[in-house]
Amino acid sequence: MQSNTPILHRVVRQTPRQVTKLTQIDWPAFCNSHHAPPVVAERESARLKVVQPKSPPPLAGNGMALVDSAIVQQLTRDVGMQRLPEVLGAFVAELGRRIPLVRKAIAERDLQVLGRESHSLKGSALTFGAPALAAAAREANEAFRHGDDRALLEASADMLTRGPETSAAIASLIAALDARHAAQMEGEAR
Amino acid sequence: MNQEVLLVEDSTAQAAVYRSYLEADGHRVHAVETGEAALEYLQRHLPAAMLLDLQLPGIQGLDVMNRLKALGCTVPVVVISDNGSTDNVVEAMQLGATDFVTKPFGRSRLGVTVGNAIRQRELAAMVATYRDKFTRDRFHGFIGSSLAMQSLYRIIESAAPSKATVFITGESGTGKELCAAAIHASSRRSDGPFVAVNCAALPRDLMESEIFGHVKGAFTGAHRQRDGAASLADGGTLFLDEIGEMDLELQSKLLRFVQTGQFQRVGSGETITVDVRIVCATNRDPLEMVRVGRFREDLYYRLHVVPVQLPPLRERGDDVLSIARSFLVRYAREEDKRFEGFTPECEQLLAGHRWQGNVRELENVVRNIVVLHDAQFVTLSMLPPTLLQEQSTRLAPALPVELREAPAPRIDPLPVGTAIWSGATAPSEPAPTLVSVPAPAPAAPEQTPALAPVLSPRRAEVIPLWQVERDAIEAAIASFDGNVPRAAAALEISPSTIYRKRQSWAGANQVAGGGQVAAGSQSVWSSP
Repeated sequence: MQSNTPILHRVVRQTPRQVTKLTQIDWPAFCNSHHAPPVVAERESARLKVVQPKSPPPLAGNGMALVDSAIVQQLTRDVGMQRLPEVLGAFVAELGRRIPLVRKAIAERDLQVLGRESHSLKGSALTFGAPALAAAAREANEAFRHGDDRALLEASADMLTRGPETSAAIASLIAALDARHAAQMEGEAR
Repeated sequence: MNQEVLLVEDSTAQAAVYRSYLEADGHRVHAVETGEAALEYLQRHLPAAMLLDLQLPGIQGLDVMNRLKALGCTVPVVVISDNGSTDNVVEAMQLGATDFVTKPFGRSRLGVTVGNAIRQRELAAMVATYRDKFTRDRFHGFIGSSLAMQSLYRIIESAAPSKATVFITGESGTGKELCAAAIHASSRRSDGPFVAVNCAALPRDLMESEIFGHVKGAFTGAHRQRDGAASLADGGTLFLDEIGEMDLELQSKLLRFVQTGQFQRVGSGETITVDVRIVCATNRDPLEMVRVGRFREDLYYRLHVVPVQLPPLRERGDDVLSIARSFLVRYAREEDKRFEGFTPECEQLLAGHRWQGNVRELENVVRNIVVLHDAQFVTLSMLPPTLLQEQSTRLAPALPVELREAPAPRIDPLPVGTAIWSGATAPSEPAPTLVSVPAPAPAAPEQTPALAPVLSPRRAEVIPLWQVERDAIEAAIASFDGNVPRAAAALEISPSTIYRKRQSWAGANQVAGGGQVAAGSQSVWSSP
C-alpha cells in the first residue's frame, strides 16, 4: 500500500464564516442518519464537511475493502474529530504488535496464540471498520474453535497480508487528518 | 454523571475507543488489560460499573465473574462478547452479569447499557437502604419485623429527639417499658439516666416521696434526706409506668412538675428545678379514665403529647415465632438444655394462639417448656394444655356446616363456686380451679354474671380487665363477709392491694357520681 493512497474521505475544514452558514443544515441527515448526535459530536460535525471520495476506497488483495467508510464515519461521530487520530493510532500500534506475534506463531505452529490473536484482531478490525482483516481474523478464529488446524494456518497467513495493508490504510487516514489539522491551524493563524 | 467505570479489555485499541465513548458520556474510566488486574483493583475500589471482555489473556472473563460472585462483589458487570460467544454470554448472565454488548458497538449502545447498569445498581442500593431502614427485625430491645412494629420503630425514632412527653398505651405485656427505654436510648439524652417508677407498686403515701424525694424528718421513718425519681432523672428520662394508678392528689403535683419542671421534696419548701423528659404508660384507655374521673383531664392533655400505641402480640403476625425462638434460645442456654427450635406444627399453633397476655405470656410458655423438657425441638406434646385446648376450639369451624349452623347451646351465667379458669385440661374434663368464686354473697348477686361474658366461648362482649378484676375482688370480699385479709388470702394477693384498689375505685365513683358512692359499690363493699 502506497503512502499516497487516496483516503476514504476528504475532510475539509470550514471557515468560521461557513460554519455560521452551516447552522441551517439538517444535521441528522448530514450525520448519516445519526438521529440523536451527542452534543460534542454534533459540534465537531459542525466544523466538518464530509464529501464522497472522488476515487473508490482502497481494496485488499482479495477484493474486499480495507476500510469501511460507514464505520469510520460512525467512529468519527462517536469519538469526535479531536480523538479520532488518537484511537486510530492505537489501532495501528496494536496491529504493529500483533502481526509479528501472528507471524511468529505461524512459524512455530503455536495454534493457541493464533487462536487468541485472531480473536483480538477480529474485534479490533470490526471496531475500526477494517472488513478485509476482520474476515481473515474471523475465519482463523472459527477454524481455531473448530480445531481445523490447516484452515487456521491458512487464514492466519491471510491475516499476515491484510494486517499491514490495513495498517497502511489507517496510517494514511491519520496522515490526512494531521495534514488537515495543520491546514486548519494555519488558516486560523492567518 | 462522573461515575467510575472499570474497563477490562486486553486490546489497547478497542480500550481506547471504549474509553473515549465512556468519557464522552461523563464517566471516569480505569482501564486494565487482564482479569487478574481487575480483581486486584476491585479489592480496593468499587466502581459504578465494570465493562468486561470475556476473552482475556490469563484469567478469562467468566472466571472473573465466578470470583466476583464468590467474593460477594456487587459491582454491575456489562460483558463484551462477539457473535461467536453466545454460550459464554448466557453463562455470564447466569453468574450475575447485568447486561452485555456485542462487538462492534457504537457509543450510544454502550452508553445506554452502562447507564442502565449503573442505574440498576443505584436502585438496588436504594431498595437495600429502605429495606434496612424500614424492615428491621430488631430495634433496641424489641424483636419483630411486622408492619405494626415497623410503624412503631419509626414513631419511636421520630419522637426520640424531641423533649415532648410520650404517652404509651398498650395491653399488659406488650413492652411499654421496653418502648420507654427505646425512646430514651434513641434520644439525645441517652447518656443521661433512665429512671422508671411503677405508680401501681407503691402505696399512695410513699409514691410522692418516691417521685419527688423527701427531707429528713418529713414523716415517720424519714431518717435522712432522699432524692426522688425526678431528681435522679435530671438530664435524662423519667418513666412513669401505670400512671393510671396514680392518686388524684398526686396527679395535681405531677401536673405542676410537668408544666414547670419544678417540684418540692416532701417536707421541704425548697423548689428544685430539673431537666427531665417524661414518658408515661398505662394499659388502660386514658380517655376513659378521664371520663370516669380517675385521671385529671388537664394532666392528660399535658402528658398526651406524643401518643404511642403498642400493638398486641396477636396483631404482630410472624413476630410471635421470632420472639418465641429468641426466648427458646435464651432459656435453653440458661437452663443448659438442647432446644434448637419448634416443630412446624408447634409453630403453627403458636402463631395462631391469641396471646391475651402478650409477650409475657409467650415468654412464660417458652420458659415453662424449657424448664420441664429437654429435646432438640419443641413438639406439640410439650406445649401447655391451654394452648392445645384453644387449638381444638379453633378447629371447631371444620365441623360440617349443618353442625356449625346449629344453634349454640345457651350458656348460663357461671354458677358461683365453679372454676372460672379451665386451666390445663380440655373443656370436657373437670377443670382445676386456679381462681374460685366462693359461696354466694347475698349483697352482690349481680356481680357474678358480669364474669359470664368473659368466660363464654362466644364472647359477645369483652369486659375490661380492670372491671373483671374489680368484680372478682368484690365477690371474694363479699363471700368472706367483708373480711378483706381473708379475701386477699383466698385471692393470693396482699390485703394492701385490695385497700389500694378499693380507694381508687371509690375515688373514681365519687368523681363520676358527683361525690356519691355508686349504688353497686355500696352493695358490695362493707367495712374492712
